[in-house]
Amino acid sequence: MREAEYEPVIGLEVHAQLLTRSKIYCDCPATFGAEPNTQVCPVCLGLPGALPVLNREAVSMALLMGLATKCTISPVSVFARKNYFYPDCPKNYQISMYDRPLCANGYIDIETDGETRRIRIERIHLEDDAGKLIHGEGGVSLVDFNRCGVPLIEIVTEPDIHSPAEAYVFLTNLRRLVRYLGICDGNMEEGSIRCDVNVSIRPVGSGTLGTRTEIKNLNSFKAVEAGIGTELERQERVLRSGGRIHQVTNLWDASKKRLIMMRTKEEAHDYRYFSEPDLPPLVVDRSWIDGVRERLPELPGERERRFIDQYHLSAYDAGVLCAERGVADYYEGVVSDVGEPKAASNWVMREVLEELKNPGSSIGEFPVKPEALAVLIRLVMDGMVSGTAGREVFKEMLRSGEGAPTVVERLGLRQVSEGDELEAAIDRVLDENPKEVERYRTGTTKLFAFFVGQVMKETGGKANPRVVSEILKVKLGD
Amino acid sequence: MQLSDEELGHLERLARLKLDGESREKLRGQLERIIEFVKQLQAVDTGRVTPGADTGTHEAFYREDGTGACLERSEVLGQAPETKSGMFSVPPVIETDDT
Repeated sequence: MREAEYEPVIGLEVHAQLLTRSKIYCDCPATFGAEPNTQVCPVCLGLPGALPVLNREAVSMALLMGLATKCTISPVSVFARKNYFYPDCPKNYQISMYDRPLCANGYIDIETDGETRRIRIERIHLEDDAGKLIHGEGGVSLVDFNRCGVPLIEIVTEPDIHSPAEAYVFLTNLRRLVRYLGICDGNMEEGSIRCDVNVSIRPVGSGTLGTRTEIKNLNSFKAVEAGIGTELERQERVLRSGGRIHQVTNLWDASKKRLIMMRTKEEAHDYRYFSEPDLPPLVVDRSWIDGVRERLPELPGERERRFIDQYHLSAYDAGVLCAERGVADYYEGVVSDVGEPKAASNWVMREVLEELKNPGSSIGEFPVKPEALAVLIRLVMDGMVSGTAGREVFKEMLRSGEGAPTVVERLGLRQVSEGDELEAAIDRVLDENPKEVERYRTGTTKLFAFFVGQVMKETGGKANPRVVSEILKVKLGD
Repeated sequence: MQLSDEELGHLERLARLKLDGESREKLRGQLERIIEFVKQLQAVDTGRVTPGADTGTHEAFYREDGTGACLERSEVLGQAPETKSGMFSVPPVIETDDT
Protein backbone atom coordinates (compact mmCIF):
# COMPACT_ATOMS: atom_id res chain seq x y z
CA MET A 1 0.00 0.00 0.00
CA ARG A 2 1.26 3.43 -0.92
CA GLU A 3 -0.25 5.04 2.20
CA ALA A 4 2.04 2.97 4.33
CA GLU A 5 5.16 4.70 3.07
CA TYR A 6 4.55 7.88 1.11
CA GLU A 7 2.09 10.70 1.56
CA PRO A 8 1.00 13.11 -1.16
CA VAL A 9 1.46 16.86 -0.72
CA ILE A 10 -0.74 18.84 -3.10
CA GLY A 11 -1.20 22.54 -3.71
CA LEU A 12 -3.57 24.16 -6.19
CA GLU A 13 -3.48 27.32 -8.27
CA VAL A 14 -6.98 28.18 -9.37
CA HIS A 15 -7.81 30.86 -11.90
CA ALA A 16 -11.35 32.20 -11.81
CA GLN A 17 -12.71 34.63 -14.42
CA LEU A 18 -14.54 37.52 -12.79
CA LEU A 19 -18.05 38.40 -13.93
CA THR A 20 -17.37 42.04 -14.62
CA ARG A 21 -19.02 43.59 -17.66
CA SER A 22 -15.74 44.91 -19.02
CA LYS A 23 -12.13 43.75 -19.01
CA ILE A 24 -9.69 44.49 -16.21
CA TYR A 25 -7.52 47.17 -17.88
CA CYS A 26 -9.75 48.40 -20.72
CA ASP A 27 -13.46 48.79 -21.50
CA CYS A 28 -13.86 45.96 -24.01
CA PRO A 29 -16.70 43.58 -23.04
CA ALA A 30 -15.51 40.62 -20.97
CA THR A 31 -18.30 38.32 -22.13
CA PHE A 32 -17.72 34.82 -23.46
CA GLY A 33 -18.77 33.54 -26.84
CA ALA A 34 -18.39 36.53 -29.19
CA GLU A 35 -17.00 36.06 -32.70
CA PRO A 36 -13.18 35.73 -32.53
CA ASN A 37 -11.21 38.97 -32.34
CA THR A 38 -14.23 41.27 -32.11
CA GLN A 39 -13.82 42.30 -28.45
CA VAL A 40 -10.35 43.79 -28.54
CA CYS A 41 -8.78 47.25 -28.49
CA PRO A 42 -5.28 48.75 -28.49
CA VAL A 43 -4.92 48.17 -24.72
CA CYS A 44 -5.69 44.45 -24.62
CA LEU A 45 -3.84 43.89 -27.90
CA GLY A 46 -0.75 45.54 -26.42
CA LEU A 47 -0.41 48.07 -29.24
CA PRO A 48 2.31 50.70 -28.72
CA GLY A 49 1.33 53.63 -26.52
CA ALA A 50 -1.84 52.10 -25.13
CA LEU A 51 -2.17 52.38 -21.35
CA PRO A 52 -4.13 50.24 -18.89
CA VAL A 53 -6.73 51.72 -16.49
CA LEU A 54 -7.85 49.48 -13.65
CA ASN A 55 -11.49 48.34 -13.44
CA ARG A 56 -12.62 49.15 -9.89
CA GLU A 57 -15.26 46.41 -9.87
CA ALA A 58 -12.63 43.74 -10.61
CA VAL A 59 -10.83 44.84 -7.45
CA SER A 60 -14.07 44.75 -5.45
CA MET A 61 -14.81 41.22 -6.64
CA ALA A 62 -11.32 40.06 -5.68
CA LEU A 63 -11.86 41.69 -2.27
CA LEU A 64 -15.15 39.79 -1.89
CA MET A 65 -13.27 36.53 -2.39
CA GLY A 66 -10.55 37.66 0.02
CA LEU A 67 -13.08 38.48 2.73
CA ALA A 68 -15.03 35.26 2.13
CA THR A 69 -11.86 33.21 2.63
CA LYS A 70 -10.81 35.20 5.74
CA CYS A 71 -7.75 36.63 4.05
CA THR A 72 -5.79 39.65 5.22
CA ILE A 73 -6.34 42.49 2.74
CA SER A 74 -3.20 44.38 1.89
CA PRO A 75 -3.69 48.17 2.20
CA VAL A 76 -1.19 48.59 -0.64
CA SER A 77 -0.63 45.97 -3.29
CA VAL A 78 1.50 46.21 -6.40
CA PHE A 79 0.89 45.11 -9.97
CA ALA A 80 3.83 43.37 -11.59
CA ARG A 81 4.84 42.49 -15.12
CA LYS A 82 5.39 38.85 -15.80
CA ASN A 83 7.36 38.68 -19.03
CA TYR A 84 7.05 35.78 -21.44
CA PHE A 85 6.69 35.20 -25.15
CA TYR A 86 3.74 33.14 -26.22
CA PRO A 87 1.33 33.71 -29.09
CA ASP A 88 -1.70 34.02 -26.78
CA CYS A 89 -0.15 37.09 -25.08
CA PRO A 90 0.17 40.04 -27.47
CA LYS A 91 1.69 42.43 -24.88
CA ASN A 92 4.47 39.89 -24.26
CA TYR A 93 3.77 40.29 -20.56
CA GLN A 94 0.93 39.64 -18.19
CA ILE A 95 -0.01 42.30 -15.65
CA SER A 96 -0.22 40.25 -12.50
CA MET A 97 0.84 40.67 -8.87
CA TYR A 98 4.00 39.18 -7.47
CA ASP A 99 5.50 39.95 -4.08
CA ARG A 100 2.69 42.21 -2.85
CA PRO A 101 -0.62 40.48 -3.64
CA LEU A 102 -4.03 41.93 -2.77
CA CYS A 103 -5.09 39.19 -0.32
CA ALA A 104 -3.10 36.68 1.72
CA ASN A 105 -3.28 34.13 4.52
CA GLY A 106 -6.88 32.93 4.35
CA TYR A 107 -8.52 29.52 4.38
CA ILE A 108 -11.42 27.40 3.21
CA ASP A 109 -12.78 24.64 5.44
CA ILE A 110 -13.88 21.49 3.64
CA GLU A 111 -15.56 18.30 4.80
CA THR A 112 -14.09 14.98 3.74
CA ASP A 113 -15.18 11.68 5.24
CA GLY A 114 -17.10 13.53 7.94
CA GLU A 115 -14.00 15.38 9.02
CA THR A 116 -13.43 19.13 8.71
CA ARG A 117 -10.12 20.01 7.05
CA ARG A 118 -8.75 23.52 6.80
CA ILE A 119 -7.06 24.27 3.48
CA ARG A 120 -5.04 27.45 3.84
CA ILE A 121 -5.03 30.05 1.09
CA GLU A 122 -1.58 31.50 0.57
CA ARG A 123 -2.70 34.39 -1.61
CA ILE A 124 -5.31 35.78 -3.97
CA HIS A 125 -4.24 38.24 -6.63
CA LEU A 126 -5.60 39.97 -9.73
CA GLU A 127 -4.31 39.55 -13.26
CA ASP A 128 -5.40 39.60 -16.89
CA ASP A 129 -6.30 36.48 -18.85
CA ALA A 130 -4.47 35.54 -22.05
CA GLY A 131 -6.01 34.90 -25.45
CA LYS A 132 -7.26 31.53 -26.55
CA LEU A 133 -5.20 29.17 -28.71
CA ILE A 134 -7.05 26.76 -30.92
CA HIS A 135 -5.33 23.97 -32.79
CA GLY A 136 -6.00 24.51 -36.44
CA GLU A 137 -5.57 22.19 -39.34
CA GLY A 138 -2.26 21.77 -41.09
CA GLY A 139 -0.18 22.06 -37.93
CA VAL A 140 -0.89 25.73 -37.19
CA SER A 141 -2.37 27.28 -34.08
CA LEU A 142 -5.08 29.92 -34.29
CA VAL A 143 -5.41 32.77 -31.83
CA ASP A 144 -8.54 34.53 -30.62
CA PHE A 145 -7.61 37.56 -28.51
CA ASN A 146 -11.12 38.22 -27.11
CA ARG A 147 -10.12 36.65 -23.80
CA CYS A 148 -7.05 38.90 -23.42
CA GLY A 149 -7.66 41.19 -20.47
CA VAL A 150 -10.63 39.35 -18.99
CA PRO A 151 -10.12 39.78 -15.24
CA LEU A 152 -8.89 36.78 -13.30
CA ILE A 153 -8.26 36.10 -9.68
CA GLU A 154 -5.59 33.54 -8.99
CA ILE A 155 -6.14 31.63 -5.77
CA VAL A 156 -3.06 29.81 -4.49
CA THR A 157 -3.40 27.27 -1.71
CA GLU A 158 -0.74 26.14 0.72
CA PRO A 159 0.27 22.49 0.12
CA ASP A 160 -2.39 21.33 2.58
CA ILE A 161 -4.20 18.85 0.34
CA HIS A 162 -3.35 15.20 0.88
CA SER A 163 -5.32 13.21 -1.69
CA PRO A 164 -6.82 13.54 -5.16
CA ALA A 165 -10.30 13.21 -3.61
CA GLU A 166 -9.58 16.08 -1.24
CA ALA A 167 -8.51 18.25 -4.19
CA TYR A 168 -11.84 17.46 -5.81
CA VAL A 169 -13.84 18.41 -2.72
CA PHE A 170 -11.84 21.62 -2.30
CA LEU A 171 -12.53 22.66 -5.89
CA THR A 172 -16.22 21.87 -5.53
CA ASN A 173 -16.34 24.09 -2.44
CA LEU A 174 -14.40 26.84 -4.16
CA ARG A 175 -16.72 26.76 -7.15
CA ARG A 176 -19.76 26.93 -4.89
CA LEU A 177 -18.23 29.89 -3.06
CA VAL A 178 -17.46 32.00 -6.15
CA ARG A 179 -20.97 31.33 -7.43
CA TYR A 180 -22.50 32.37 -4.10
CA LEU A 181 -20.46 35.55 -4.22
CA GLY A 182 -21.64 36.16 -7.79
CA ILE A 183 -18.08 36.86 -8.93
CA CYS A 184 -17.60 33.89 -11.31
CA ASP A 185 -20.03 31.58 -13.07
CA GLY A 186 -17.87 28.54 -12.31
CA ASN A 187 -18.34 27.10 -15.78
CA MET A 188 -15.44 24.70 -16.39
CA GLU A 189 -16.36 23.93 -20.00
CA GLU A 190 -16.10 27.60 -20.90
CA GLY A 191 -12.90 27.85 -18.88
CA SER A 192 -14.29 30.23 -16.25
CA ILE A 193 -12.43 28.19 -13.64
CA ARG A 194 -9.10 26.59 -14.45
CA CYS A 195 -6.77 24.75 -12.18
CA ASP A 196 -3.05 23.96 -12.12
CA VAL A 197 -1.70 21.52 -9.60
CA ASN A 198 1.61 21.10 -7.75
CA VAL A 199 2.26 17.57 -6.60
CA SER A 200 4.99 15.92 -4.55
CA ILE A 201 5.27 12.92 -2.29
CA ARG A 202 7.30 12.40 0.85
CA PRO A 203 7.86 9.61 3.34
CA VAL A 204 5.05 9.63 5.90
CA GLY A 205 6.01 11.75 8.88
CA SER A 206 8.77 13.58 7.05
CA GLY A 207 8.85 17.33 7.67
CA THR A 208 10.49 18.26 4.38
CA LEU A 209 8.78 18.54 1.02
CA GLY A 210 9.77 16.39 -1.94
CA THR A 211 10.54 17.82 -5.37
CA ARG A 212 7.27 18.90 -6.90
CA THR A 213 5.96 18.70 -10.42
CA GLU A 214 3.25 20.75 -12.01
CA ILE A 215 0.20 19.61 -13.97
CA LYS A 216 -1.52 22.01 -16.33
CA ASN A 217 -4.39 21.79 -18.80
CA LEU A 218 -6.78 20.22 -16.31
CA ASN A 219 -10.14 21.08 -17.79
CA SER A 220 -12.49 19.54 -15.22
CA PHE A 221 -12.49 18.74 -11.51
CA LYS A 222 -12.53 15.04 -12.41
CA ALA A 223 -9.45 15.62 -14.58
CA VAL A 224 -7.74 17.25 -11.59
CA GLU A 225 -8.48 14.18 -9.50
CA ALA A 226 -7.34 11.78 -12.21
CA GLY A 227 -4.24 13.81 -13.14
CA ILE A 228 -3.05 13.99 -9.54
CA GLY A 229 -3.65 10.24 -9.08
CA THR A 230 -1.61 9.41 -12.18
CA GLU A 231 1.25 11.71 -11.18
CA LEU A 232 1.37 10.37 -7.62
CA GLU A 233 1.69 6.84 -8.95
CA ARG A 234 4.46 7.90 -11.33
CA GLN A 235 6.43 9.68 -8.61
CA GLU A 236 6.13 6.70 -6.33
CA ARG A 237 7.36 4.31 -9.04
CA VAL A 238 10.37 6.57 -9.67
CA LEU A 239 11.28 6.84 -5.98
CA ARG A 240 10.83 3.11 -5.35
CA SER A 241 13.15 2.24 -8.18
CA GLY A 242 15.79 4.53 -6.68
CA GLY A 243 15.24 7.40 -9.13
CA ARG A 244 14.92 11.14 -8.58
CA ILE A 245 11.96 13.42 -9.27
CA HIS A 246 12.76 16.32 -11.59
CA GLN A 247 10.92 19.60 -11.48
CA VAL A 248 8.84 19.47 -14.64
CA THR A 249 5.53 20.60 -16.01
CA ASN A 250 3.10 18.01 -17.33
CA LEU A 251 0.11 18.53 -19.52
CA TRP A 252 -2.96 16.39 -18.86
CA ASP A 253 -4.35 14.66 -21.91
CA ALA A 254 -7.97 14.11 -20.91
CA SER A 255 -8.90 11.94 -23.87
CA LYS A 256 -6.09 9.43 -23.23
CA LYS A 257 -6.01 9.96 -19.46
CA ARG A 258 -2.25 10.40 -19.37
CA LEU A 259 0.38 13.04 -18.69
CA ILE A 260 2.58 14.58 -21.35
CA MET A 261 5.85 16.06 -20.13
CA MET A 262 6.63 19.56 -21.43
CA ARG A 263 10.15 20.14 -22.66
CA THR A 264 11.12 23.08 -20.48
CA LYS A 265 10.11 24.48 -17.17
CA GLU A 266 10.25 28.23 -16.73
CA GLU A 267 11.10 29.36 -13.26
CA ALA A 268 10.07 32.54 -11.47
CA HIS A 269 13.28 34.41 -12.34
CA ASP A 270 12.79 33.58 -16.01
CA TYR A 271 9.71 35.79 -15.99
CA ARG A 272 11.75 38.86 -14.96
CA TYR A 273 8.98 40.23 -12.76
CA PHE A 274 9.09 43.95 -12.06
CA SER A 275 6.63 46.53 -10.76
CA GLU A 276 4.19 47.55 -13.46
CA PRO A 277 5.18 51.07 -14.49
CA ASP A 278 1.82 51.78 -16.16
CA LEU A 279 -0.29 51.19 -13.04
CA PRO A 280 0.28 52.87 -9.70
CA PRO A 281 0.20 50.75 -6.54
CA LEU A 282 -3.32 49.66 -5.62
CA VAL A 283 -4.44 51.36 -2.41
CA VAL A 284 -7.46 49.81 -0.70
CA ASP A 285 -8.72 51.84 2.23
CA ARG A 286 -11.05 50.91 5.08
CA SER A 287 -14.16 52.39 3.43
CA TRP A 288 -13.63 50.36 0.26
CA ILE A 289 -13.33 47.16 2.28
CA ASP A 290 -16.39 48.07 4.38
CA GLY A 291 -18.40 48.69 1.22
CA VAL A 292 -17.44 45.29 -0.14
CA ARG A 293 -18.17 43.63 3.18
CA GLU A 294 -21.78 44.81 2.91
CA ARG A 295 -22.08 42.83 -0.33
CA LEU A 296 -21.02 39.57 1.35
CA PRO A 297 -23.90 37.09 1.37
CA GLU A 298 -24.32 34.36 3.94
CA LEU A 299 -21.59 31.91 2.88
CA PRO A 300 -22.54 28.39 1.76
CA GLY A 301 -20.86 26.55 4.65
CA GLU A 302 -22.53 28.80 7.23
CA ARG A 303 -25.86 28.46 5.49
CA GLU A 304 -25.60 24.67 5.47
CA ARG A 305 -25.01 24.64 9.24
CA ARG A 306 -27.94 27.01 9.78
CA PHE A 307 -30.26 24.78 7.71
CA ILE A 308 -29.34 21.85 9.98
CA ASP A 309 -29.92 23.85 13.18
CA GLN A 310 -32.93 25.92 12.17
CA TYR A 311 -34.86 23.51 9.96
CA HIS A 312 -33.60 20.25 11.51
CA LEU A 313 -32.56 18.94 8.13
CA SER A 314 -30.01 16.14 7.70
CA ALA A 315 -26.48 17.15 6.74
CA TYR A 316 -27.07 15.53 3.37
CA ASP A 317 -30.27 17.49 2.66
CA ALA A 318 -28.70 20.74 3.82
CA GLY A 319 -25.72 20.08 1.52
CA VAL A 320 -27.93 19.44 -1.51
CA LEU A 321 -30.13 22.50 -0.86
CA CYS A 322 -27.14 24.79 -0.29
CA ALA A 323 -25.11 23.62 -3.29
CA GLU A 324 -26.49 26.55 -5.23
CA ARG A 325 -27.45 29.88 -3.75
CA GLY A 326 -30.56 30.18 -5.94
CA VAL A 327 -31.86 26.81 -4.77
CA ALA A 328 -31.23 27.64 -1.11
CA ASP A 329 -33.06 30.96 -1.61
CA TYR A 330 -35.92 29.13 -3.31
CA TYR A 331 -36.17 26.63 -0.46
CA GLU A 332 -36.25 29.38 2.14
CA GLY A 333 -38.88 31.17 0.07
CA VAL A 334 -41.09 28.08 0.27
CA VAL A 335 -40.48 27.56 3.99
CA SER A 336 -41.19 31.19 4.87
CA ASP A 337 -44.65 30.80 3.29
CA VAL A 338 -45.72 27.34 4.37
CA GLY A 339 -43.52 26.39 7.33
CA GLU A 340 -43.08 22.61 7.06
CA PRO A 341 -39.27 22.60 6.49
CA LYS A 342 -39.04 18.84 6.04
CA ALA A 343 -41.88 18.61 3.51
CA ALA A 344 -40.54 21.65 1.68
CA SER A 345 -37.09 20.04 1.52
CA ASN A 346 -38.58 16.86 0.02
CA TRP A 347 -40.49 18.82 -2.59
CA VAL A 348 -37.52 20.96 -3.58
CA MET A 349 -35.06 18.07 -3.64
CA ARG A 350 -37.29 15.67 -5.51
CA GLU A 351 -39.49 17.70 -7.81
CA VAL A 352 -37.68 21.00 -8.29
CA LEU A 353 -34.11 19.67 -8.56
CA GLU A 354 -35.30 16.87 -10.84
CA GLU A 355 -36.81 19.45 -13.14
CA LEU A 356 -33.63 21.56 -13.05
CA LYS A 357 -31.67 18.68 -14.57
CA ASN A 358 -33.29 19.54 -17.89
CA PRO A 359 -30.89 21.48 -20.06
CA GLY A 360 -31.61 25.17 -20.19
CA SER A 361 -33.63 25.32 -17.00
CA SER A 362 -32.41 27.46 -14.13
CA ILE A 363 -33.63 28.17 -10.65
CA GLY A 364 -33.73 31.91 -11.40
CA GLU A 365 -36.33 31.36 -14.12
CA PHE A 366 -38.10 28.42 -12.56
CA PRO A 367 -41.76 28.58 -13.68
CA VAL A 368 -43.22 27.56 -10.33
CA LYS A 369 -42.36 30.30 -7.86
CA PRO A 370 -41.66 29.45 -4.21
CA GLU A 371 -45.00 30.99 -3.12
CA ALA A 372 -46.85 28.78 -5.62
CA LEU A 373 -45.11 25.63 -4.43
CA ALA A 374 -45.90 26.65 -0.85
CA VAL A 375 -49.63 26.73 -1.70
CA LEU A 376 -49.43 23.23 -3.20
CA ILE A 377 -47.55 21.86 -0.18
CA ARG A 378 -50.22 23.36 2.08
CA LEU A 379 -52.96 21.58 0.09
CA VAL A 380 -51.14 18.26 0.46
CA MET A 381 -50.38 18.77 4.16
CA ASP A 382 -54.05 19.61 4.81
CA GLY A 383 -55.17 16.45 3.05
CA MET A 384 -56.93 18.31 0.26
CA VAL A 385 -54.75 16.57 -2.32
CA SER A 386 -52.97 13.23 -1.97
CA GLY A 387 -49.18 13.09 -2.26
CA THR A 388 -49.36 11.29 -5.59
CA ALA A 389 -51.93 13.70 -6.99
CA GLY A 390 -49.79 16.56 -5.65
CA ARG A 391 -46.90 15.56 -7.87
CA GLU A 392 -49.28 15.45 -10.81
CA VAL A 393 -50.51 18.94 -9.90
CA PHE A 394 -46.89 20.15 -9.77
CA LYS A 395 -46.18 18.86 -13.29
CA GLU A 396 -49.29 20.61 -14.54
CA MET A 397 -48.30 23.85 -12.77
CA LEU A 398 -44.94 23.66 -14.55
CA ARG A 399 -46.64 23.16 -17.85
CA SER A 400 -49.52 25.64 -17.64
CA GLY A 401 -48.24 28.18 -15.17
CA GLU A 402 -51.51 27.97 -13.22
CA GLY A 403 -51.76 27.97 -9.44
CA ALA A 404 -52.27 24.74 -7.50
CA PRO A 405 -55.97 25.31 -6.56
CA THR A 406 -56.89 25.97 -10.20
CA VAL A 407 -55.14 22.82 -11.39
CA VAL A 408 -56.69 20.72 -8.63
CA GLU A 409 -60.19 21.85 -9.58
CA ARG A 410 -59.64 21.58 -13.33
CA LEU A 411 -58.26 18.04 -13.15
CA GLY A 412 -60.69 16.99 -10.40
CA LEU A 413 -57.89 15.91 -8.11
CA ARG A 414 -59.40 17.16 -4.88
CA GLN A 415 -59.10 14.46 -2.29
CA VAL A 416 -62.50 13.31 -1.01
CA SER A 417 -62.37 13.55 2.77
CA GLU A 418 -65.89 14.11 3.87
CA GLY A 419 -69.47 14.23 2.91
CA ASP A 420 -71.92 11.95 1.22
CA GLU A 421 -69.73 11.15 -1.75
CA LEU A 422 -67.20 9.26 0.33
CA GLU A 423 -69.85 7.54 2.48
CA ALA A 424 -71.68 6.42 -0.62
CA ALA A 425 -68.50 5.02 -2.15
CA ILE A 426 -67.73 3.06 1.00
CA ASP A 427 -71.29 1.69 1.14
CA ARG A 428 -71.05 0.56 -2.48
CA VAL A 429 -67.79 -1.29 -1.79
CA LEU A 430 -69.26 -3.06 1.25
CA ASP A 431 -72.44 -3.97 -0.65
CA GLU A 432 -70.51 -5.39 -3.56
CA ASN A 433 -68.26 -7.56 -1.38
CA PRO A 434 -70.54 -9.32 1.13
CA LYS A 435 -68.29 -12.38 1.41
CA GLU A 436 -65.25 -10.32 2.35
CA VAL A 437 -67.29 -8.38 4.88
CA GLU A 438 -68.39 -11.63 6.46
CA ARG A 439 -64.82 -13.00 6.59
CA TYR A 440 -63.55 -9.75 8.07
CA ARG A 441 -66.17 -9.83 10.79
CA THR A 442 -65.24 -13.42 11.65
CA GLY A 443 -61.59 -12.57 12.18
CA THR A 444 -59.78 -12.15 8.84
CA THR A 445 -58.75 -8.59 9.77
CA LYS A 446 -56.05 -8.37 7.14
CA LEU A 447 -58.90 -7.79 4.66
CA PHE A 448 -59.07 -4.19 5.99
CA ALA A 449 -56.42 -3.09 3.49
CA PHE A 450 -58.49 -4.70 0.72
CA PHE A 451 -61.48 -2.49 1.59
CA VAL A 452 -59.35 0.65 1.70
CA GLY A 453 -57.94 -0.26 -1.69
CA GLN A 454 -61.39 -0.83 -3.15
CA VAL A 455 -62.61 2.54 -1.87
CA MET A 456 -59.56 4.28 -3.38
CA LYS A 457 -60.34 2.55 -6.66
CA GLU A 458 -63.99 3.53 -6.44
CA THR A 459 -63.08 7.21 -5.89
CA GLY A 460 -60.42 7.25 -8.57
CA GLY A 461 -57.68 7.80 -5.99
CA LYS A 462 -59.24 10.99 -4.68
CA ALA A 463 -60.24 9.66 -1.28
CA ASN A 464 -58.15 10.55 1.75
CA PRO A 465 -56.94 7.12 2.97
CA ARG A 466 -56.88 8.22 6.60
CA VAL A 467 -60.51 9.33 6.53
CA VAL A 468 -61.52 6.19 4.60
CA SER A 469 -59.97 4.03 7.34
CA GLU A 470 -61.86 5.87 10.05
CA ILE A 471 -65.23 5.53 8.34
CA LEU A 472 -64.58 1.89 7.42
CA LYS A 473 -63.77 1.01 11.00
CA VAL A 474 -67.12 2.42 12.12
CA LYS A 475 -69.08 0.70 9.36
CA LEU A 476 -67.37 -2.65 9.89
CA GLY A 477 -68.22 -2.40 13.55
CA ASP A 478 -64.68 -2.21 15.02
CA MET B 1 31.41 36.97 -15.79
CA GLN B 2 31.43 34.19 -18.36
CA LEU B 3 28.08 33.28 -19.89
CA SER B 4 28.02 29.55 -20.60
CA ASP B 5 26.58 28.00 -23.75
CA GLU B 6 23.91 26.43 -21.63
CA GLU B 7 22.87 29.78 -20.09
CA LEU B 8 22.86 31.43 -23.48
CA GLY B 9 20.73 28.60 -24.87
CA HIS B 10 18.24 29.05 -22.05
CA LEU B 11 17.96 32.78 -22.77
CA GLU B 12 17.48 32.06 -26.46
CA ARG B 13 14.62 29.74 -25.65
CA LEU B 14 12.97 32.31 -23.37
CA ALA B 15 13.35 35.01 -26.02
CA ARG B 16 12.25 32.68 -28.82
CA LEU B 17 15.45 33.52 -30.69
CA LYS B 18 17.78 31.30 -32.64
CA LEU B 19 21.32 32.68 -32.86
CA ASP B 20 24.42 31.19 -34.32
CA GLY B 21 28.03 31.94 -35.16
CA GLU B 22 29.09 35.56 -35.06
CA SER B 23 25.83 37.07 -33.83
CA ARG B 24 25.71 34.60 -30.96
CA GLU B 25 29.22 35.55 -29.82
CA LYS B 26 28.42 39.25 -30.22
CA LEU B 27 25.36 38.87 -27.98
CA ARG B 28 27.36 36.86 -25.45
CA GLY B 29 29.82 39.74 -25.11
CA GLN B 30 27.02 42.32 -24.78
CA LEU B 31 25.17 40.31 -22.16
CA GLU B 32 28.35 39.84 -20.16
CA ARG B 33 28.86 43.61 -20.12
CA ILE B 34 25.25 44.13 -18.96
CA ILE B 35 25.76 41.68 -16.11
CA GLU B 36 28.96 43.54 -15.09
CA PHE B 37 26.96 46.76 -15.03
CA VAL B 38 24.26 45.21 -12.85
CA LYS B 39 27.00 44.08 -10.47
CA GLN B 40 28.05 47.72 -10.11
CA LEU B 41 24.46 48.60 -9.20
CA GLN B 42 24.32 45.76 -6.73
CA ALA B 43 27.44 47.06 -5.01
CA VAL B 44 25.60 50.24 -3.95
CA ASP B 45 24.51 50.20 -0.31
CA THR B 46 20.72 50.65 -0.37
CA GLY B 47 20.23 49.60 3.24
CA ARG B 48 18.73 52.94 4.24
CA VAL B 49 16.48 53.39 1.22
CA THR B 50 12.77 52.60 1.59
CA PRO B 51 11.73 50.03 -1.02
CA GLY B 52 9.45 51.59 -3.60
CA ALA B 53 7.19 50.10 -6.19
CA ASP B 54 6.86 52.99 -8.59
CA THR B 55 8.55 56.16 -9.61
CA GLY B 56 5.65 58.57 -9.24
CA THR B 57 3.60 59.86 -6.36
CA HIS B 58 0.47 60.06 -8.47
CA GLU B 59 -2.73 58.75 -6.99
CA ALA B 60 -4.35 55.62 -8.29
CA PHE B 61 -7.34 56.12 -10.51
CA TYR B 62 -9.92 53.65 -11.62
CA ARG B 63 -12.45 52.96 -14.28
CA GLU B 64 -16.08 52.14 -13.53
CA ASP B 65 -17.22 48.82 -15.00
CA GLY B 66 -18.77 50.03 -18.26
CA THR B 67 -18.08 48.86 -21.78
CA GLY B 68 -16.95 50.93 -24.75
CA ALA B 69 -16.18 50.51 -28.42
CA CYS B 70 -13.80 47.85 -29.70
CA LEU B 71 -11.70 47.84 -32.85
CA GLU B 72 -13.17 46.68 -36.14
CA ARG B 73 -12.28 43.07 -36.72
CA SER B 74 -10.76 43.81 -40.12
CA GLU B 75 -8.50 46.36 -38.47
CA VAL B 76 -7.44 43.80 -35.87
CA LEU B 77 -6.74 41.05 -38.37
CA GLY B 78 -4.85 43.59 -40.48
CA GLN B 79 -2.10 43.39 -37.84
CA ALA B 80 -1.54 39.69 -38.50
CA PRO B 81 0.93 38.26 -41.01
CA GLU B 82 -1.48 35.39 -41.57
CA THR B 83 -5.11 34.80 -40.64
CA LYS B 84 -7.57 31.96 -40.82
CA SER B 85 -11.25 31.77 -39.82
CA GLY B 86 -11.13 35.23 -38.27
CA MET B 87 -8.12 34.34 -36.14
CA PHE B 88 -4.38 34.93 -36.11
CA SER B 89 -2.55 31.96 -37.59
CA VAL B 90 0.70 31.12 -35.79
CA PRO B 91 3.20 28.24 -35.71
CA PRO B 92 2.18 25.32 -33.46
CA VAL B 93 3.02 26.09 -29.88
CA ILE B 94 2.93 23.10 -27.58
CA GLU B 95 6.44 21.89 -26.78
CA THR B 96 6.54 18.39 -25.41
CA ASP B 97 8.90 15.44 -25.33
CA ASP B 98 6.06 13.43 -26.72
CA THR B 99 6.49 14.34 -30.36
